[in-house]
Amino acid sequence: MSQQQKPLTAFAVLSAAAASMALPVADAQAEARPDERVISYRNSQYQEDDAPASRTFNGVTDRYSVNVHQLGFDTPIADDWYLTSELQYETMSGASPMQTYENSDGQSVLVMSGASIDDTRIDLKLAPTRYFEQGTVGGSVAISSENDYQSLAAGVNGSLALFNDMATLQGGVSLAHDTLSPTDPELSTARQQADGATKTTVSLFQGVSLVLNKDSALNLGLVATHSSGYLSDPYKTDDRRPDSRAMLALSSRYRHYLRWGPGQENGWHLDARWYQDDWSVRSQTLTTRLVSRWTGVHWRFELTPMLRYYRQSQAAFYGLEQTPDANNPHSSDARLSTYGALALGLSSELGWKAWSLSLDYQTYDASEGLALVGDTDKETPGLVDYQLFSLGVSYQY
Amino acid sequence: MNKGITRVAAGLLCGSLLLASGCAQVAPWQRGHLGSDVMSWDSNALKRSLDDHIHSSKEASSGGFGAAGGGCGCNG
Repeated sequence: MSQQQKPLTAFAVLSAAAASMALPVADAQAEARPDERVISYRNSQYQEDDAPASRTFNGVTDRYSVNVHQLGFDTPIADDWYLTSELQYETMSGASPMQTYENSDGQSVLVMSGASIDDTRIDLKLAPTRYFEQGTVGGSVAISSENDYQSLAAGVNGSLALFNDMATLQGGVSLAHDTLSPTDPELSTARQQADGATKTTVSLFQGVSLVLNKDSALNLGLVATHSSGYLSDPYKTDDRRPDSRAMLALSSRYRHYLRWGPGQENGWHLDARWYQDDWSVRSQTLTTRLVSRWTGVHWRFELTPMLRYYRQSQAAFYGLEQTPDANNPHSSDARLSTYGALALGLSSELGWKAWSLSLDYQTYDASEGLALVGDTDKETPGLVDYQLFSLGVSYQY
Repeated sequence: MNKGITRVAAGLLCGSLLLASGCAQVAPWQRGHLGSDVMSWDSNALKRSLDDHIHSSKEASSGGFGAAGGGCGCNG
């Protein structure tokens, strides 16, 4: 089962931002350890749309559906220590693209894996944080396990408040080591070569949060990541990627406070990211949300519409030749093509005393045309559209 | 690329600190709005975690708001 093809496999992010998770922007002030314990559960249904039948080689059009259970528990563990933890369990089934090639008519043909694939994944993350008067020091460990992919990761991070808490510096480093063990290795040479292969990823993070005025704040971040080892997808046909990848992402997050009436407040969020790597992939991401909250004596209600736009340019070795040169890097993975994607979401949360209930919906559409600029002459039927529906409950004590 | 990363990192750090030192001071008692839940960088950790995971497995890009620890073979 392809660790490259799965929509939801091992976690990519061991967050140095674990320290910034769920924190208000007032973390630009010296942070205080949270006092409360929070237990939360969330179930999500992820469903991909069918592949286009007119472009599918073998008539298989069903794509992935995933059922995700998440259990979170955050608690003080000592005077100045706080622990956040997350356990995730996924079950997934469906088919995925093995190859895309361009036929003599100039149309792209999508070859899907023949049979529906079933798999499960379990993932555990722990992140303790020590709070000081002017900052924090934290760590994180994560383990992820599935039939054909094992991952271990660890990281450290910290923050330091400066200039009367007008600015907070953040930094972190993380390391991950993954091991592949493709199923049915007898089916291809690529699977045999990948059996026991490893991948190592090192990531450095630097960021700063700034109080701009009493109603707005800005966070800037820079992440440099280097992966080495087996980076190809053994389940895809003629997938040969370089054995190293250097990535750089620059991000900004802006928050602005608005109040339109008594008992009501809003936060406007604008997030942007610029990304590039030495596979020639360049991408830009823009996300905006308006978080509106109404508060009563024992209850609160929050509604958040979200709009996200993403675009990327293709990797240097992306191509749709049916029989590419075996001596050169090559991949027909749609995720390495030039395309754009638009996501719309609506989140709601109803709180009553210490309880809260959340309901979220998100739809994601990707297409060549949404790239807006770049070479999008080639059809990319392997691009995925999906819907995500989530229901969550949490209790704080 | 390493030199470029170092320059960008140094520029980000210095520029941010200059910006911070030049910003009008906001007293702690004036920061109530900034502490509101509607202003959180990430309001729901489980939601953010899953959203990030899906996006990083469906797109060629990942990271940006924290150190990416790897551990995912699902990136394009």
